[in-house]
Amino acid sequence: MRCLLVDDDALARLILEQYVQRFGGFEIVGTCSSAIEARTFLQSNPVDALFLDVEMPGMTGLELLYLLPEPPATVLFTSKKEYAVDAFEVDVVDYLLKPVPYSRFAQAAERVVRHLSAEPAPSEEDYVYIKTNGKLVKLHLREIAYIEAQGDYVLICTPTEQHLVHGTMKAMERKLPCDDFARVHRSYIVRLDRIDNLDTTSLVVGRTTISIGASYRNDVLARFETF
Amino acid sequence: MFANRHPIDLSFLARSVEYDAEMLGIMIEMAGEQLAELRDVLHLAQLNSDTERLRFAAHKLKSTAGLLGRRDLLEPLDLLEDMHLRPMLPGEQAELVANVLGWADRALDALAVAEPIDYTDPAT
Repeated sequence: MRCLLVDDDALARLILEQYVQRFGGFEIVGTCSSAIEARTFLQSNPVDALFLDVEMPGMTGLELLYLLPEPPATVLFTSKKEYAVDAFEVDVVDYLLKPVPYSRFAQAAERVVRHLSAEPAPSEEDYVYIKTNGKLVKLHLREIAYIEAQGDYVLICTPTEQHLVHGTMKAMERKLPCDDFARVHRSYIVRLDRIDNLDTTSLVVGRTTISIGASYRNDVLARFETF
Repeated sequence: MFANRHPIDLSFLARSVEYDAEMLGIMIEMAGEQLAELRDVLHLAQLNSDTERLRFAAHKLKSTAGLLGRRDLLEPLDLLEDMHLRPMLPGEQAELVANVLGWADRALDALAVAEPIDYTDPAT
């Protein structure tokens, strides 16, 4: 698993390197001393995991996560508890308070490994709560027709309603049962039993035609061969 | 809080490198360089009434103090870092900065004579 370490404190970065090496299983492909540097690095060096300090001059770790279209599995480090709520809004795997003992780091790294190796967990519930217009709204999964990426937000579409929710497609993918939903395009996730018809390049859900992305095509079509 | 205990406790750093004396030596040196630099930034910021630099130094010192086993300093350093949100009483800020500078000086002295081999794994 490729990982990137980001902390503006050189000593903290060195400790983090020691921890990652001691834990094993991760390849450190880079270390950055700022979120701005990390953003540039990530544009040409995709990683599976990000160990990221929150409070850095210029751009915070949280701001970096908001800017990444597909954030890697992320563990945040900070000396302030008050970032915890924001941290979980951007769907981080874990959140650690500095200074971090190795035992706590190892727990977080273990979570990253599980997170990366697991298939999207099928939800035991048939509904999710989404935060929209300042309210938590219960939404049954069977109502969802498709989900469309809209910058830092996703638009959840049912046949009768649309909900704009802050989040990423990757985070949505993780929350939805993979038996029922499929990523068909960089910008679309579709509920399979809502698809009325499809060919090799597009599919139709209700009155909406959605392109099937070239890199998703084989996986999408394979899902239907099993029907 | 600032004066009544040893200025540093390197056991956290020692544990973090599994009591590897060479690695701990590197960390002690880095901590010394980092702390000296931050101490100067804080001092200059105070002299120049540069609130932004002062808050920056306080923020960075939190990390260093934590790694040097002084978690108890996080709260007063937080006060300095967040002074734009919670203004202090007249003289309070100057006293706090003087205390932090005093601690930094004592910590630098202690780091200068710290020996990695003094920190061995208690399990062995």
